[in-house]
Amino acid sequence: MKRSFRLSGILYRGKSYGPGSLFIDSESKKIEIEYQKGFIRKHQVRLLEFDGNTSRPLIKDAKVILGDANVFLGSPDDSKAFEMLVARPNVEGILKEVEESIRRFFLSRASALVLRRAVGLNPREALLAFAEDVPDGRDPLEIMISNSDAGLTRAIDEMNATLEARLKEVPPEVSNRIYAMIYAVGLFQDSIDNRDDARRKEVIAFLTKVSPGKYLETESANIGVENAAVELLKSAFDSFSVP
Amino acid sequence: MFKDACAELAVVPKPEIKLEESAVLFAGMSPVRVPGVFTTEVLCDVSESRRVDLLALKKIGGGTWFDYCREYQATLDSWLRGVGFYRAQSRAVVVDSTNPLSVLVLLSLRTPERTVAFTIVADKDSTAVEQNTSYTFLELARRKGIPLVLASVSQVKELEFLVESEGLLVGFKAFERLVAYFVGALPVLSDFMRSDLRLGVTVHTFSAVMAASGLVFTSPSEIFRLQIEQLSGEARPDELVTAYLLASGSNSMREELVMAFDRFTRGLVNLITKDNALETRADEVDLYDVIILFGLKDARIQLSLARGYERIAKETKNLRVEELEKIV
Repeated sequence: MKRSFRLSGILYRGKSYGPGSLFIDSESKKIEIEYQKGFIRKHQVRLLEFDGNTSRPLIKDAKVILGDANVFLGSPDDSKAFEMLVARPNVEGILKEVEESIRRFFLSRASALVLRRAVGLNPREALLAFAEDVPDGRDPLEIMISNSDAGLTRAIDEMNATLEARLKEVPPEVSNRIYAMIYAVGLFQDSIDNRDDARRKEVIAFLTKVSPGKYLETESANIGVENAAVELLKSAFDSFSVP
Repeated sequence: MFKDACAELAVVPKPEIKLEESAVLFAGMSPVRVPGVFTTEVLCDVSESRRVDLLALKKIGGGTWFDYCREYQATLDSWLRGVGFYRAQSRAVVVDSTNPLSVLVLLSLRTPERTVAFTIVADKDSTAVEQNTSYTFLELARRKGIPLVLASVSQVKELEFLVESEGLLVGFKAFERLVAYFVGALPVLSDFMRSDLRLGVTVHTFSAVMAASGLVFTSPSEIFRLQIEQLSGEARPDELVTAYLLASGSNSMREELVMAFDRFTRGLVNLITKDNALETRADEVDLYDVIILFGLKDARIQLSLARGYERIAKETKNLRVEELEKIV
């Protein structure tokens, strides 16, 4: 979301540019400064861009220091509003990053579940499909399962690392809801794998409380275990709102 | 709370694997399928393909056992591991040892323990190449310590059983019926073979009477007398050192069969051990199957093939047993 502020004055590298505007993208923290040019036909000209992520603007009363530039906001209220926007974490960006790492984990988990089901249903077919990649003298089944376990451990470690690093920046109630969503999606994946319709409905009801949204498509029992988590996760994140 | 619970998601349950306890590999002959037994086959075809129940190897024009072993040993080894052949508690290979694939199968067997080979062997009427292949197979089995149940080509031709619901089975059809019986009784048969291995007995022959009845035989003793006659071309009574009875019949017949078997084995002068495994027929009809496996003192059958083997081995250096070591 972009927000603009009127500037009463701009001082840039020792030169005064008069009044202008400040635009800030609340998510990316990109700041643009424009000044007014012309006497008869006034128009705005971009003077500079500033990345609020790499270095924080310094705010003192109505004055904002952006590197080499000093800009002056029109009122103390504007100053307060600007300060809040700068300080506010990029929740959407964090959620996007977190969602991707969770998605990768559930894809890996789905592969593990599918593999186990295939091995359980037709072990010889599963073994044969895998045997060629197995080093001489090793048991294909043991290798297949241990590779799958290792992949899953790696995926959860990567997800946890991302969650630890990124969820620090959001309020605890947001991170709690995200962990609740992860747990619910995991239970949903299991209920699809076990063909447990009652459990599936319970999980959807729970998830609706965590992130109220439309989960109709993913309620179908026919959805595969691979797609189930991805679809559900997407729906949950799409409807996830931060107060 | 949910953060801690998420750790549970990293653990997915181990798959429950149920595999048949017995596995049989057929090579160079049509498989005989027995319920509850994993049955698969290796054969030659125009192109290579692999499935759980079949490995087709591209036929080598004019290929000898040496060519097949050199070309396909790794392929067969990986496939056998892939289909979980070694996961079976009791294993068997059923081969025609005049076929080059038989040597390949034996060479590729990674763990020969708990494996029995039911084998058709060449005889004096077979070609020299067939004798060479068969001899190589027998020698390889001896070196690997794989117990053999042998039937010569002529013995197979002469086999005949009258089987209820199937009629008269002759020759190879009768042999297939017998193989089905062996495969069905594989766990018991493997125990007998293990016992013989400890005594240094690896070569076996057999005699069989299927669907016998009181109308044809006045007593079970008569059946055992007939069995010695069946063996006449294959082994002399003094060559028999072990005897194992596999029989199925009605409950009322069981005791009589065991007693008759005991009387019969007393006549085998060099016998060192014997055992029996009786199965009650579900139909309770007064018919019984009697099969006896005999352990042989020496491999006379193999010696009878030595001339044919040497004839080929002299002319083609590759076709010597020692060449197998180079492949492995």
